[in-house]
Amino acid sequence: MNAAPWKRRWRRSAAAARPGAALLVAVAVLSGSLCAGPACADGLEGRFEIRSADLELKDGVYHLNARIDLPVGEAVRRGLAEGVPLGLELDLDIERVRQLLPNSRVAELTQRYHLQYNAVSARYILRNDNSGQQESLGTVDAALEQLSEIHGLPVLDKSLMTADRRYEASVRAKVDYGTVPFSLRVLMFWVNEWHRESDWYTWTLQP
Amino acid sequence: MDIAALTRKYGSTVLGTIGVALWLVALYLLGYAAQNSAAFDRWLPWILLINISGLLTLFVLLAAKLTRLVRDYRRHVPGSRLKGRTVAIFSALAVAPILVVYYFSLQFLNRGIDSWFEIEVSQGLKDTRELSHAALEVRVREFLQHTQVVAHELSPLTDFELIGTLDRERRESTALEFTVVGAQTRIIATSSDRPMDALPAPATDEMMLQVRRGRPYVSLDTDSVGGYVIRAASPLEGDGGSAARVLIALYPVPQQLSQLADTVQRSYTQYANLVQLRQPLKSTFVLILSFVVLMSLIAAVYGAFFAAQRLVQPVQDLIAGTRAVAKGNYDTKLPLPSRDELGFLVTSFNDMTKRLGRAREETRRSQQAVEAERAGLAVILARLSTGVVSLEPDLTVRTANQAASAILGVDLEAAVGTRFDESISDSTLFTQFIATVKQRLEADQSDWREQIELLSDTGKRVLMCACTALPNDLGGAPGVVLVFDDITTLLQAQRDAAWGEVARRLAHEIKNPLTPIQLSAERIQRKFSGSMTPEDAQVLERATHTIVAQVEAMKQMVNAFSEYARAPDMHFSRFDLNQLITEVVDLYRVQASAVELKLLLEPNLPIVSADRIRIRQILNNLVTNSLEALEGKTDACVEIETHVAEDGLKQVVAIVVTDNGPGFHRDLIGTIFDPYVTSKPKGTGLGLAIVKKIVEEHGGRIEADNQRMGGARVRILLPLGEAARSSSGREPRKGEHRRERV
Repeated sequence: MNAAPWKRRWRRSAAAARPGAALLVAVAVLSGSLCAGPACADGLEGRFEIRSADLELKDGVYHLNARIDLPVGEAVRRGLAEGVPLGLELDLDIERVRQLLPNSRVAELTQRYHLQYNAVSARYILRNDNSGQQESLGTVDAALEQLSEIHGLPVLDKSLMTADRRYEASVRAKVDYGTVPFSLRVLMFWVNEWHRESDWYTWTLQP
Repeated sequence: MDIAALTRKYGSTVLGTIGVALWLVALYLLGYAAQNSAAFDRWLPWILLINISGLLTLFVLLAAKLTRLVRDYRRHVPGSRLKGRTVAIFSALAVAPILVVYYFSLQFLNRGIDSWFEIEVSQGLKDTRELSHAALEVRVREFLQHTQVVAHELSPLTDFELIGTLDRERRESTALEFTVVGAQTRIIATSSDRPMDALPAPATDEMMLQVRRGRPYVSLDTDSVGGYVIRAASPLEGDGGSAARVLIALYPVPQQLSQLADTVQRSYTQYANLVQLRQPLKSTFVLILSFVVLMSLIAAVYGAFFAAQRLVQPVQDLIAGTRAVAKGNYDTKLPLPSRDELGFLVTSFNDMTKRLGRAREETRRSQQAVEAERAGLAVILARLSTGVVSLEPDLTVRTANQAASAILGVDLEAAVGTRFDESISDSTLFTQFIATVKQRLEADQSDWREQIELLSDTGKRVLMCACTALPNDLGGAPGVVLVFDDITTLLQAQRDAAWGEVARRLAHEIKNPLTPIQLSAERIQRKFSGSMTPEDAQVLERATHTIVAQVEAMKQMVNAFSEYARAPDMHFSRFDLNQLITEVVDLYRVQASAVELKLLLEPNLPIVSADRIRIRQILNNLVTNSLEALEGKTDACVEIETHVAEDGLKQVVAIVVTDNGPGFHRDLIGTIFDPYVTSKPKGTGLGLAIVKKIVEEHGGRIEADNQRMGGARVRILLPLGEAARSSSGREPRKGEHRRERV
């Protein structure tokens, strides 16, 4: 017995839509599984910026003083207490301003810091990766305060600068939480819970 | 085969294979990179690029396939429905297991990674840390107490005394370093067992803050080389409670203990990192798994398209081939898909079309032969002087040749397909012919032969008609074919020949005795008239006069016969016909002034080639006949017209002589050109017969009929140019001259 025309049409359209429906189901499952993952993870959050920075001339050497707002919430603090490391990288560029031509770079400095909790000593170890110096701090707040306050970092000898020229200094900070491999970061490029970069903080300098 | 041809043939296949292989390798490396990131950091972007390119390529290919399928489906392309159904079934068969595997893989993945972080492991690590901490705590307390004791001992000493005492105290203990700092963490004295270049351990803010609050400070710290040291600080008493001086001590942790602590710390850190990576790893694995599943799904659906295409293609070919055969294209040859049942079907189809094509070719050749036969027959029929008309059983004209049309005076070729009856033409001749034929056919006589005499406006026509039934292989009613010939001219020629023979014999047998009869009668009169009585002499004279007069009359009659029977020599010359007509008519204008002689001569009449004397004779005869017929008529008029006309394919000069007299007697009109046919009391009946003979000797034709308005009309058609000369078949003999009689 023949089916009604509308039933035949429905069957035809259903048969034609099967491959498409299977794809839609797959995409839905994929989307659901991905959304259920990193969104629930604890990581860097909040504002991350260079709040202030300046170069201070002391004994013929310019020293960097900077204040950084770290994107560290309670979850990161807990993570630090459980042994997850926190890395901070500070990039400093000093360029001589030129008319009609691109600025010329005078100095470039990258300073890396590493903060990690030592569970045996119950101390937070803040290490300067450039110099190898490290500091032991008793609380996470003290450690974070120490990390976010850059004070008296020598960056440039005054003799390398010309007195009547204008210079621009720029500072940018990058923060890494944990030891998430590069491949995972690339694969989950839309998640910024493990790595953040601040905007450049730029100011003019007149020697 | 050269390289270019090989590239064209296998290039896409090789490229596709390389692409798929590269893509599979990249897919494998993608999964591997998630676990061994460091080794693949450099290659990860390329791996990702290849995978995404592969995914996009597959997606585009699948979209193209789907679009084409939908388009074919809507256009009702043959095989599209079967293809769509096959794709749907194959896709469902392939997609369902993949989705099931995907679901369970997700479950296993989540549970597997979660199992790494079992609570026992976490608790064990915490306990180990606590244990290590406790073990070190004892030493830390001991060193703190020792530091407090040393600080108590050093408290009374001045800064200067501290230098020596500090060194002694350090040597007596296990401390690595003793340092006394003052205000602003200025070092007052220090003693160290560490290398000479090592600076004294700095006093930290935290340390100083705690000490200045009056509380001792102790901490377990790591040094720059990864070992552990215990740092303790205690204020020196007696400084007015301001704790201006502080003893900072640095104690070593035994190496074994330090290594154990370091191991615990590393494990703790690694576990913490793993915990942190737990969710990203899960997400990454899920992402890669989903990516692989998605590509597998698309590849499966694309494979379904491929398989469906392979399966449906022979069917589509068969449908296309069947349609082509239905349209008459028997050259269709389908590609052989395989050696299976479909291959057998395709082979059978190819054999069938091959046989059909061969049969069609034979039929075409037969048709061509028949057509050629028919064309040849048509040519023969067209050239025949015999009329041929074939009729369907329902008397519809099937074919008719030109001769049939010419004989019956009807365009029968135009009437093919119509019924063979009076509707074709209402001419007298055709109507009589139809009546005769229908009478026979309605009497179911399909095979007969008859001489049919028909009366037309130009006289009696005699047709020899034969009818034969056509064979009908299909068993239906047969058609008939009518074959007829106009034998009027033949019969006339036979009559003319007979009359010629009669005239010749009369001239020969009668003319010779007439002169002796005449002479004898005259001699009798001369010899016996004097010896007779006047009465007898008068009787004799009347009798001899009658004999002489009748003999003279007989002589004239015999001369006329002789003239008719004699085949005269023709002397052709080129002359102006209009001028000749004008000369002849001018002679009659004087003697027949009561009759109006009207000339309608075409000014541009071509010069004719004819025997001028004979043509003059024709004109004299015709004008004389007309004048005799008009005797006693008041408004008598004779009209002579010339013009150029067409007679069949020939161009002729027409001479038309008409009068307004009583015309020809209707009973005589069919035989008016026969000898001894005349309506005049004194005529010999040879005038028009001689005219006809002269015209025919010029290759012309003569017709006589009555005008509708009354009066007779004679129409002579003389061929133009060389046609006249060739038709006579006679040339004038050399030196032969004739005087033109007027």
